[in-house]
Amino acid sequence: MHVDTADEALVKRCQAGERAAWRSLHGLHYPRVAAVLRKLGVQAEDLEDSVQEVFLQVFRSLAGFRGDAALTTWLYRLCISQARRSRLQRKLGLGLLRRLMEAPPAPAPAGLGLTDAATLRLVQAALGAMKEHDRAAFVLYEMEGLGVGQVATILECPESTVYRRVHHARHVLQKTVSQVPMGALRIELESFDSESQGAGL
Amino acid sequence: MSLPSDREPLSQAADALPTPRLVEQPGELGRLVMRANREALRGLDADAAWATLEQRQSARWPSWGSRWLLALSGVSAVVLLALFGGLRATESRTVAMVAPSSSASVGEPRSRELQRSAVVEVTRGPRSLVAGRNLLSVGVTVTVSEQARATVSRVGTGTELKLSSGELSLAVEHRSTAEALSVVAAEYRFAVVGTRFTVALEGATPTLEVREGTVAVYRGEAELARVSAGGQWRPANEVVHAAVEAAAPAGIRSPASGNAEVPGNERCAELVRAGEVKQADGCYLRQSEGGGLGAQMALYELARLRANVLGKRQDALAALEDYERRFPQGALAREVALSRLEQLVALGRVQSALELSQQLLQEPTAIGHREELHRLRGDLYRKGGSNCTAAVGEYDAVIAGAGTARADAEFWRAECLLMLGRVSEAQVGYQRYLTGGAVQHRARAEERLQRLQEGQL
Repeated sequence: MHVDTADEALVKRCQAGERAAWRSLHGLHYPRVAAVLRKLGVQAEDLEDSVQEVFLQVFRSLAGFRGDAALTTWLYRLCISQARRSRLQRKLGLGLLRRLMEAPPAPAPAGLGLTDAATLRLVQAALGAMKEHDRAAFVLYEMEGLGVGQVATILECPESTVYRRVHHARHVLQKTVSQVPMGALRIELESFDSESQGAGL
Repeated sequence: MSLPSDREPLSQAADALPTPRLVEQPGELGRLVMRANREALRGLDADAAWATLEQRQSARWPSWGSRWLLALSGVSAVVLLALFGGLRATESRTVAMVAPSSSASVGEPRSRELQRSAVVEVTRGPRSLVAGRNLLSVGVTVTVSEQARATVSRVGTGTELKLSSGELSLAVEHRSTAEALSVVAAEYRFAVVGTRFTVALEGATPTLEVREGTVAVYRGEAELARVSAGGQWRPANEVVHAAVEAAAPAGIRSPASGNAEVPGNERCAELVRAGEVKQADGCYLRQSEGGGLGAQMALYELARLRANVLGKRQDALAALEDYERRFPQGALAREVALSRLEQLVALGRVQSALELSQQLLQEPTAIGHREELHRLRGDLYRKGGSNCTAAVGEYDAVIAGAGTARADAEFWRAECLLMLGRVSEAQVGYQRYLTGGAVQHRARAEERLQRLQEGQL
C-alpha cells in the first residue's frame, strides 16, 4: 500500500461515507489542485469549473480507490486530464456561456516591470507554447518539485522520457523569456528576491 | 545554462540536462518559476469552492453538453427515474446476451447522498442488492436507489441483474466475451456492450438512459434497439432521445443507397472514435437521407461532428438548419435549436443569436435553462452589441433566478453599470459580488471597488 499516511486515514473515512472527511479532503488538496490547473494552462474563467470537475471525479471514484498509488499521484493525473479537457473544450468552442468571456489582459508594457500576475501569464505563455507532454513534465518537476520517479509514475513513462520532456520544456521557457525586455524582468525579479527571503515555495 | 538542440540523441539530451531544478540554480528562470508558483496560489478560497461544489454535488448536474440534452428532452426522463413507483415483479425470458467489447470508467451514482457500500458475491442463486453502492465480485459497480428491489445472479458464465422496481445504475469495466452482463426489467433485457447506463422501472415500464458506450435492448430473443451514449429508450417505440438506433433486420436495404446496405449511425460513431472523421461525415450524411428518427439523429450528430471535431461551424449550422427545415416537429428539435444558438454565437452572429434566444425563452420548456439563456443574452449585449443597458436587464433576470450563474452575472452587471456611469449602483454590485464568495473575478472587483472608493473612477 503506497497511500501516504496522512491521506490514508482521511481516504478511509471518506470511503466510509463521512461527510466531514470529504470536506477535509477537499480543503487539504484544493490549493494544490487549483494551482496545478493554473500552471497547466487552465484559463481563469474555466478554473473554478475545472477544479470542481477534478473533485467530482474524486468523489465519484474514491470508493474504488485501492491505494496502490499515492492519492496525490492520482490527483495530479486527474489535473492533467482535466487541463487537457479544458483546453480541448476551449479550442472546440464548447460551452455557451464561456464563449464571450473577457480575453486575458495584455502583458505589462516594456519597461514597467512585471507584476506577479504578469509573471504567471508569461510562464503560462511559455507553458502554452510547449507540447502537452513536455508541459506536464515541466509543471510536475520544475514547479511542483516532484522527483523524477514520481513524475514518471504520474505520466506513466520512463524516467529518461521525463528528462527529455523537461529538457525540451526548459528550452521553450528560455526562448519565451528571451522575448521579454530584460529590463522589465530584472527589476521585478530583483525586488522579488528581497521579498522572498525565507518564503520557501 | 546551455540548451542542446531538440535534435540531439536522447542520451546526449539527458546527459546535458542539469539535474538541479531551475529554482535550485541561480538565475532568472528559477526566480520566474518561483514567482509563478506564488501567483498560482493567489486568491484561492477553499471555503467558497467547497460551498459551490456541495451545491453542484447535490444538484447532480452532468457535464455541460449532456445537461442540455437532459433538460430539454420532451419528457423529463431524469424526473421519472427519480420518481419510481410500483412494485410489480415481472419475469424475464431467457435471451442470448451480447458480449461487451469496450471499457468504461468508474460509475456515477445518481442519488443525492454519498452511497453506502456493500460487497456482493455473485452466485447462481439470486442475491439481493442493497440501496447504495454494490461492488459485485465480478468487477461491476451497481448503484441502487432507495426502496428499489434488485437482485444479482450468475447465469451461465454471465451475470444477470434483475430489477423489480426502482432504479439502478451501472459502471462496467472491460469484460471478455465470456463475462456478459445484463439487466432484466419487466419483460425486457438490457445487455451491456461496454458502458455506463441507468435502468429505471416505473410500474411495468422501464426506461433506459445511456451515459457512455452502448446498450442493446431485447424483448425475448429479438434485439429491439441499440442505444449509445446520450440516448434514452422506452418501450413501444417511444424513443425519448437521440443516439438510438433501431436494430435493422439483416438484409434490409436503405432506399438511399441502392443495392448496398447503409451502415447504421453506430457505424458512423465508430468511425469518429477511430479518428476517421471525414468518412464519418460522409457516413452521417448518407444516414441522414430519408426520414425517420435515424435520419434525424444522423443530421444532429453530423452537426456535432462538424462543430466539435472538424471545427466547421458554418457547415454545422447548415446541417442544423437542414434539420429544422425537414423535421420542424422532430424529436430533437430542442437540442437542434440550442446547438444552432451555440453555432450562431461562435460565428459572431449576435443579432441572430439574440433573436433565437428570445424565441427559446418564450417556449414553455425553457424553464430549466432560463438563467443560462439570460446570461448568454447579457453577454451578447455587452460584448457583441455594446448595449450595456440591455445587458443589465438580462443580468437582472439571472440574479433574480438565484442559480449558479448568479455570481458571475453580479460582476458583469456591475461592470456594465460602471460603463453606463451609474457609479453608486456599480459599487453596490461589486460589493454584492464579493460578499457572495465567488473567486473568479475577485481581484478585479476588489480593484474596481477600491478605485471607486478613492474616487478614481
